[in-house]
Amino acid sequence: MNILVILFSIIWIYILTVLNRSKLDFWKFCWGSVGLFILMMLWVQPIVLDSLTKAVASVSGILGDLTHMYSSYFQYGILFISNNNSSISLYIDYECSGFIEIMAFTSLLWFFNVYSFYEKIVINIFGFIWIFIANVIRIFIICALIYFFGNNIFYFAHTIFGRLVFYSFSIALYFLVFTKAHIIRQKVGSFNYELN
Amino acid sequence: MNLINYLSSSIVFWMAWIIIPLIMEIIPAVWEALVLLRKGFVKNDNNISDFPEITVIIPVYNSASTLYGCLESIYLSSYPNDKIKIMLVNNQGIDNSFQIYRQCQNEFKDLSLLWLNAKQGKSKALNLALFNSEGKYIIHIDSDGKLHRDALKNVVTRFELNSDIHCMTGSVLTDPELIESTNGFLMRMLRRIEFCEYCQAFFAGRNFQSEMDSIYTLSGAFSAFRKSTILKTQLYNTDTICEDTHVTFQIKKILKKKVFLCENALFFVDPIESFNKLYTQRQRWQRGEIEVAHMFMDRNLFADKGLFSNHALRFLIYDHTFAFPRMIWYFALICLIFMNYSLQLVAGSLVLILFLYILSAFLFYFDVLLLLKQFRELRQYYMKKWYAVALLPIFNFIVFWIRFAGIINSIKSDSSWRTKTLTDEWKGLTKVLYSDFAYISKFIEKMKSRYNNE
Repeated sequence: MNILVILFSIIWIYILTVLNRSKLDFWKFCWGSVGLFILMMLWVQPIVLDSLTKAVASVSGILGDLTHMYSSYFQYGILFISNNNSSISLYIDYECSGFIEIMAFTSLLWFFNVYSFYEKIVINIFGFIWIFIANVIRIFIICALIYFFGNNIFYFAHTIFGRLVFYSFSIALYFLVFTKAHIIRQKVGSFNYELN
Repeated sequence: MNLINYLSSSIVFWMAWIIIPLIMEIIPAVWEALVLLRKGFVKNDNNISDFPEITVIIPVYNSASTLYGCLESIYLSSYPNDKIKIMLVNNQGIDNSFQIYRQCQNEFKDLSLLWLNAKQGKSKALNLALFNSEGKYIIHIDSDGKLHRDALKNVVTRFELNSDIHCMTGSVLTDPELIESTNGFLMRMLRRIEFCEYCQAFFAGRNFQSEMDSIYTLSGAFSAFRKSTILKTQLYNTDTICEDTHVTFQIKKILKKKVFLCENALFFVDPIESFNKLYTQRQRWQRGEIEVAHMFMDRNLFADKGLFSNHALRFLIYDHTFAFPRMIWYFALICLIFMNYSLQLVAGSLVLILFLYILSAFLFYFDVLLLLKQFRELRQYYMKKWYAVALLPIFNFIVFWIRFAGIINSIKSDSSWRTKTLTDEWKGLTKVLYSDFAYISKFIEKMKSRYNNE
């Protein structure tokens, strides 16, 4: 498996240099960001995932303690919600940790040519914090809905409402980082009429 | 019980993946279709008896092959020829367009035809004509298309009966005759789908935007203005490749006037020449959208009103911001298969989304049929192309990637910028690859020559 991953990494880097020298910006962006995403899923995930899950559970737990809605067992990545009628424990797994979203944002950012190297470092940190907080808010909302409306609302809260809340935060981040910055820095004028 | 468990887990999975496209695209499409359905039953404009003088501006750039057909369509139109003044503005073209102009002058004696020479660039040509224009209304068309017989009459009638309308875009469609005479099945099919796309883009998309006062851009191929309004703008901008979008923004953001669609004024353009042309055309459109947004940043593009009422901002979020998570979403779906998700579930969710897109395409299909009721032949042609409508979601998927390429390629552009075709890109790529493997190929050549000598 490791040999395959190393082989994939070498091919990925080589094709990236080819696309770079061919000045194929779009294909470089696609190949680069998708490849980086896959490589991070393979290399970074085993190292970071556990800590990230605990961190999400821990910070979510603070909100739970403050509101007395649920309690966190962050060592195990578990949230325990109990109200008068029922109780439920939520396990912060791979999908709930926000890891995929953080990696997706990171890989898109590093191949998005609007920013300089140092800007990308700062924005990456900012984006990481943003997605982390958005994820904590999502989990808090899911727990709050379960606390108030019972276990039956779990699927709606988790699959639809929580996802929409998180997606709204993500779109706001993507708008600021990708769209707004691009529009501000867009060059205008001096274009060639030929073949257009 | 197993089946129930399977279905419930499937629905949860599908909902998770479908919820975003469902809310962002499919539900708005259904809403748009219903609004348009209502419009389909509204009666058309009454006729007017007194036709004012109008100026038709046609920029010319190596248009010899299409110019005659374009002028003939004006000559044969239902608008009185003695009320039309045509300005042909050559912007550094080098073919025999002028000879065609002379021929038309001889053949279409009722028409007033003027020839002007401008600097290179469509916007410079348009501005020169605007300075010299007369008439109450100014209509601008491209030289590579043909007006429908009633297009001019319908535009002017709409203006005359609605004093609050200052600016309109006509409906642009690709020419069905040219589509059907296309050689090659695939190219013909591409053009048929493109025709359906244009139908939906104008009769559904811009028609809805017109209802909501949210048209992002006039059509560069066919637009019409009150002269008093267009001369109050800063005219066509020469710095952007999308001068039509720029003038739309001027009218909306500076003059605070509305822009409408005249859905019963048709203009037929040539269908797309090749996939390469589609590749550069759609990238150019996307780049233009970003350029104009950049040029109007100072005019509160981001702060103007709220998100839901600022349609320019909504367009940008839809076209630009959503493109990034969408791209990742497509690849994430593939990754899911390697993450022990069932192939059936992943494929199932894709099929379901495709089905929903096809469903919304057909909702618009029926709207367009309703809106085309006064153009019987065109309606019949469109009706028979139902299978092309079913293929529209796939076409839109390809166009999404092209537009996304437009976003990324517009970032690092400099003064020598021009959009590369796919063929250009492939050539560039293979050139680098060949140079990389030069040593190996040299070695192989050496071996070959040695072998042959032996």
